[in-house]
Amino acid sequence: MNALAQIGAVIGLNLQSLPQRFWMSAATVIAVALAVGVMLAFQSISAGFQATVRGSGSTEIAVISREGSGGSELNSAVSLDEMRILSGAPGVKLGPDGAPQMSGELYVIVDGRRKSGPEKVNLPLRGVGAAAAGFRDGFTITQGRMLQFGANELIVGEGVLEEFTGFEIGSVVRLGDADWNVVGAFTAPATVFDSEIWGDGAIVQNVFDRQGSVQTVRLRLDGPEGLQKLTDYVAADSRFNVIVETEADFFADQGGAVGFLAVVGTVLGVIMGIGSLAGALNTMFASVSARTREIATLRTIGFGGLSAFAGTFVESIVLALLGGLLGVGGAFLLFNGLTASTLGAGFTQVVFAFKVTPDSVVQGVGLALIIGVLGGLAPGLRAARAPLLAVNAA
Amino acid sequence: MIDDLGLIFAGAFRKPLRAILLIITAMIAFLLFGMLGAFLSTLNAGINLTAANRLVVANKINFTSDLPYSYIARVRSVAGVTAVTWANWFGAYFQEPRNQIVTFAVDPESYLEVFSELQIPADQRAAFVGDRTGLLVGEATATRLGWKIGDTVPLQSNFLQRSDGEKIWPLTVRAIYTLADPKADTSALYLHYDYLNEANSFGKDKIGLMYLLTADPAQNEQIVRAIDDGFSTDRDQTATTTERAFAQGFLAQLGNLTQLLTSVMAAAFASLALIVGNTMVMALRERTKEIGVMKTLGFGAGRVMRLVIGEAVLLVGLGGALGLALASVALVGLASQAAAFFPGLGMSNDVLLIGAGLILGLGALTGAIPGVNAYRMRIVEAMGKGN
Repeated sequence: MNALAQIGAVIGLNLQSLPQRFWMSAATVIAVALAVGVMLAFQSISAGFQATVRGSGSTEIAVISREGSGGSELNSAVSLDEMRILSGAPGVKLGPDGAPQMSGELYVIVDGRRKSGPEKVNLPLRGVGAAAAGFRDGFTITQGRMLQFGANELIVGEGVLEEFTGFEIGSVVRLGDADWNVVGAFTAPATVFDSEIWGDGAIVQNVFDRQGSVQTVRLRLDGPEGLQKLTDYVAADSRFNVIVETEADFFADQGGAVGFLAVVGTVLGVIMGIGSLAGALNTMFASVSARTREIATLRTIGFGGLSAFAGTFVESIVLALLGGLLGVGGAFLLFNGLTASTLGAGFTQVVFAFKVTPDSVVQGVGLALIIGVLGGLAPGLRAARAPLLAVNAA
Repeated sequence: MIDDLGLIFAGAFRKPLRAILLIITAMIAFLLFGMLGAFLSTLNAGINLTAANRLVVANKINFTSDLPYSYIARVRSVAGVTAVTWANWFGAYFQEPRNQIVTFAVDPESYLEVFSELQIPADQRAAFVGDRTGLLVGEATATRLGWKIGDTVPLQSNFLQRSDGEKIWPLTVRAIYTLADPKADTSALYLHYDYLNEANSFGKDKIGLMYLLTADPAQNEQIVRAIDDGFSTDRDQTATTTERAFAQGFLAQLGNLTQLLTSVMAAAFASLALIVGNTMVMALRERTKEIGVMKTLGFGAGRVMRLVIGEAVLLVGLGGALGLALASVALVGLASQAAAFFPGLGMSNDVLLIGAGLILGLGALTGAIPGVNAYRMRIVEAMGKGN
């Protein structure tokens, strides 16, 4: 029998005898699955949140915000004077009517309630003009109708409808000292705007005492050089106290706070992985000692040490990979697509869907593989070195 | 008893490698428990610090909307209210927008009356109250940034601007406060409301939140109603809650962190229980004959069971103690790095106590199945086994 066939035969024997050590093996599989699952759970939160925030920004749109506002629309303010000067800025694409494509927007916080709990949470009310919808890719009205400008009407993002109560279509809500009719729902898929409530900017300005300013201004750039032209224009005019950046850059920094969850997940996964490695080693040593006589018999009839090693080594890897796949599968079924909300950079709730990414699947399976390899090495060596004569004494 | 301890020890370390691996598994589980437990207790610490007779008045729209200055006097006149103060969020950062520091502009005299738990030496207190550009600094922040009394610190705000166009708000450290509970968060800074209100370029005579003391917590509900009803026909309506409810609501904004952390702990313990439990069952199966011998020698079934459970408790205990110790050390290292966004992080006695309870519980649980097997094992069967 050649060496390869020997190895194949011993691996077969090992795997077939797994059911005899069912609970012990199952414990290893589950421990590995839990380590991988915990890692993926954290990573999927982080990836989902970041995908939503980063997906919100376009490179063709410039956002003007107040200097020092720390990348948050809530802290920003742009005066109407600044907005007027901006309307003559170069680098901005003109609309069909010949006017620059520009959207001055207000951003105030109102209360909502999670469907899952009684506590009040912060929701963003964005005061918009007719131009705002055109600045969001894929903006569509999904239920009801678009708000009518000049009226106290609101449209709400699908994310708001999904996670929070109090803004159902047809309801009347009191925000500030005004009553508002919720007339429709919109989606701007997988962006932070999906978690917003929109009303007429002029009315929001009055109700929330923001006369004389907006919070941010969005401008559609006329091409790749548009941003530079706009930046130079603003830098040359001392009346400006603002920063110009692409919307993509504006949102790029905002995933940071939740990004640390991915690190936490990896650390937890590795720590739990060490715990499951200890369990895997015990299982594999037990597997070797249960089959000491069998291994010695095979060696006596001419099987090599390598085949004994391979049998144990592969058994360990198979168990760990089973665990890894179980963990990945579990994470996929339990977490992928699950929606939740947390505080974003605007100090308001951002609704996002957990996202089990291919990257984290690779990491999860990789972690399992490492556990399997490390867990199989030493026990495999012990199997390969099993002394032939000591067997009967045992 | 001494003999039994010796037997437990000998049994547990019968296969040293296996025992060490089990201890490592338990250590990992309790390391995670210690770390996550400390995070959870730090999250809840802010809530436990709240006073039962302290209420918070916020704008009904949302707590980030402001209220008119004139409301202070109206709240002060509500029956049962003994003291009122107010605070404005300052959005401070030091040097870079990334280095955010929790900072409020307050009315010093009334704020220190309502928050009497802030401990400040009398001379520093007077110096802070007397200096319009004075700054009251929490011990944790003072230590972290190396600030001393008399230092001038250039704070900036991410939303407030001075009417003279300057971005920097120069402030002088006049007092450093501590809190009686060493675990409590002392990272916040306080400056004078008057300074802010005068130099700020917009939103004059606006206040953020009002805090008030009631004569008796039993009157809270009635006072809440009196305040909110009193403003119900005004342009800015109020939402008054207890300080505790306000703190809990704030935490709830982050989402279900508590549930997330608890699930991870549960997963870690499930792994541990599985591995330790299974290994103990297996270890005992190998020793069936040995137990038969012990029973033949006159060891009672109960005593044998206690020995087996003792082994599990010993192994889990050793690992658990190591894990909790490791967590305490790791937290000391983490605390300084996490100080900016997770102040007051550290091992608490509560976590250690619960950990000790869990060690006993898990040890007993994982030892229970093999223990009961040993209890039931009949000598004839035990001795009859092949190996």
